[in-house]
Amino acid sequence: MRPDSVRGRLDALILAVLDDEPLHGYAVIEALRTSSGQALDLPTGTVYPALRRLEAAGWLAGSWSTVAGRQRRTYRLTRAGRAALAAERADWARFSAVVSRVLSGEPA
Amino acid sequence: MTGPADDKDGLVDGYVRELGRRLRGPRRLRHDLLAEVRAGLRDAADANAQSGADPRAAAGEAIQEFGPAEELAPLFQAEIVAAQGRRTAVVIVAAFPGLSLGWDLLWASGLGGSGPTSPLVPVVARFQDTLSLLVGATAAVCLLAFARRMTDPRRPARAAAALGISASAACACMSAVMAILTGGALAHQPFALLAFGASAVVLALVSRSAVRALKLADSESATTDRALGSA
Repeated sequence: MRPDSVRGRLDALILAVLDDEPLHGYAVIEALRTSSGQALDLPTGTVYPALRRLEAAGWLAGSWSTVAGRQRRTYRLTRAGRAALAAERADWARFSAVVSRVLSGEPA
Repeated sequence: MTGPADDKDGLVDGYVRELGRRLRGPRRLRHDLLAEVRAGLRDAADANAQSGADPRAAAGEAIQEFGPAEELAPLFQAEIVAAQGRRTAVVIVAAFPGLSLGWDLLWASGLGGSGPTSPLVPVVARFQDTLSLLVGATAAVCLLAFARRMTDPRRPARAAAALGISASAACACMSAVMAILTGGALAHQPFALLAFGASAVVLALVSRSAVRALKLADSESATTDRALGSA
């Protein structure tokens, strides 16, 4: 899978894995790997700034927790985040349907 | 490599230090970002070690998967720029309408003194009030821009900085004009003097915040543009 394809959709993927439960940085990365069947291969470091960006946009809410000296930040979807996720899902469904149709060369 | 970096935590700390060296901005912000990264890397190293790998190799693998500090730093720096830009915008929204209100209250209360002054005084005062409202509104719009999900916060940060600097300069000039127009009368009004002093402090704080935002937004580099996907 090409890294470029993933990078553009990283925000949507992060929102999706947080749909079930709040997670901290490394857990988000693990969830991305698991739910993609190990197919997603991004530098894991890109997830942290993305989480902050989504928080700044009001789609995630973050909170600190320090366990055994490790300062983790847990993120949960906000209501605006859920709406954004629904919009991303709808957008992806439309987009992938169109691209599939064109790439497969079927008549319109 | 020998010395204290021999243990797995040392490897992670070394990487975090390397990342930190490439970041600029408010200390607290940098510290928080790096603390989160450190915890995440240690979590990753532990997970890798669970499959029986040597702890040091597990840490090395976690760092490898994380990505090169050189490439990731611009992404983290972008978040710092966004945060500083937001801060500056908030300071502007609070400061200018606040100053305007403070001065209006002072004149209304009569503590600023009364007596024959130039007819230009109310004109300048009204102009200053209108300008303060406009500046505050513009800064609020800037904040809305920051609330959108953006990849490159440098332009809004520069806009907030430019707004803060120019508004402070304009306000300072108009205050000087006011002082001249009212003649020496204000010099005998302690409350008015206090108000001038307080205004100067507020404008200085706004300027400082704006300059910080400008400096951060202007630390451009080819790496940043490429990393953030701008042309």
